[in-house]
Amino acid sequence: MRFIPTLILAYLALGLQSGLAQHIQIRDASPNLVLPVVIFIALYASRDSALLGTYLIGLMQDMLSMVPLGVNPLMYAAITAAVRMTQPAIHREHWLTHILLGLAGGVLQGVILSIVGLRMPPRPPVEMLLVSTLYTAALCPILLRPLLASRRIFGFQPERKMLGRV
Amino acid sequence: MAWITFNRIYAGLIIVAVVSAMIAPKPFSDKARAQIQRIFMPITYPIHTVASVVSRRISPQAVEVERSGGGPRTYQEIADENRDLRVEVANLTAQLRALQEVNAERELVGPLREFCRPLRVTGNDTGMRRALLVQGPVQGMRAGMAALYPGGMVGKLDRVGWSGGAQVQLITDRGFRITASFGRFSENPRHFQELGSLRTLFEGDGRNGLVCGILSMKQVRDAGLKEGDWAVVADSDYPTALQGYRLGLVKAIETSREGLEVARITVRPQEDLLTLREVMVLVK
Repeated sequence: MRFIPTLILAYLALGLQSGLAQHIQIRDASPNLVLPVVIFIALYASRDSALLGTYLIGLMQDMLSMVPLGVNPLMYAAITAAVRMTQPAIHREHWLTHILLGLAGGVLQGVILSIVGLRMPPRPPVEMLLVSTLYTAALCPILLRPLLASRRIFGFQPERKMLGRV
Repeated sequence: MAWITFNRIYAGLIIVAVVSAMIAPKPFSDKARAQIQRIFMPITYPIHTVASVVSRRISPQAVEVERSGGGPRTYQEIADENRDLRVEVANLTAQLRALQEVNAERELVGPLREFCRPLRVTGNDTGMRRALLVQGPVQGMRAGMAALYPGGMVGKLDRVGWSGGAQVQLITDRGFRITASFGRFSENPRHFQELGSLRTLFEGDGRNGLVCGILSMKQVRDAGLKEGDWAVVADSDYPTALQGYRLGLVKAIETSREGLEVARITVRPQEDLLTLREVMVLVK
């Protein structure tokens, strides 16, 4: 995985999340525009790069939020692990896969935010988490399409090739 | 071997994240966080500005308008002036009362703006909290200071970094709590009438308002509180100059679902605070 293009992608996603997400709310729930990027990296990057890359993206997102530091890295680590586990059984380029991964990611996000909210209030309401999950899942195929089309830029290498090198 | 090493390092990172998220106190990480947001300003600021303008055009906020004479000024100018004057009168009324009680601090009587420093809004919280990322001359500012806009109180500074970045927790955030009292303008538009001694704790509802669910319906009825009244700051955690400053208008008074005689009062700020482009921080 190439570092600079991935960094630019993360920068753009976080910029959009900060500048735009709360202005396009549905029922007071904003989408997570960073999640599709996390799914994209988890789907195509090698295991180590994906785990580390999404952790760092989460850390950067924490810097722009009021949630306790560490929440987003945990969320994205869990989502990346989940995507990696399901990877052999899924069609990575199908839009339905993207919706399902968006839903699964949203559910994981909701669970982690609720657990953290118990320890460090306030806890987000279930309705808001649900709407945000559905909203993000609906946006996933739309946001992932241009990313898939340009995935060569990121220089992802197949897992087997990586293992062969080791 | 490299595989095992990565797993160990990654497990360490996860443990650090868990400890930081669940155990470590928040100020521990705040200093670093306030510096980083500046890096994102080149992209968040233009997007936020455009999104705010579009958002305001799509769903314009209702503006209170008074019929006070004709003139060459536009309708919007008069409405803006009225709004500013009303906020100022409510603010001055409460200030005057507090000053009479303590018989001091006369210098605080006056437009609150003189004590404020403007900060530019560059973005919003990237999570599900209600907060604004702001940028500007933050020297002398510290967490807890109140942020204002012409329509009332915006929130308080949550963290401040030396690089000029700060974050404002909005009054509508679920973690925000403030004590408020109520009042309304009588027929004389210069006279702000406070509603008895009715004071209560409000909490942000995580949407675009504040809620209170601890007063009884009897208390509300006795005080004569009704929709359209003002909720103003009456919190000793904030400076005297801020007492009486507007939080918003009482939007609804309902019977709480939990108790038959408990009132659920909803207060709405005049504008959607997420679309603000500038806030003023009360620094003195």
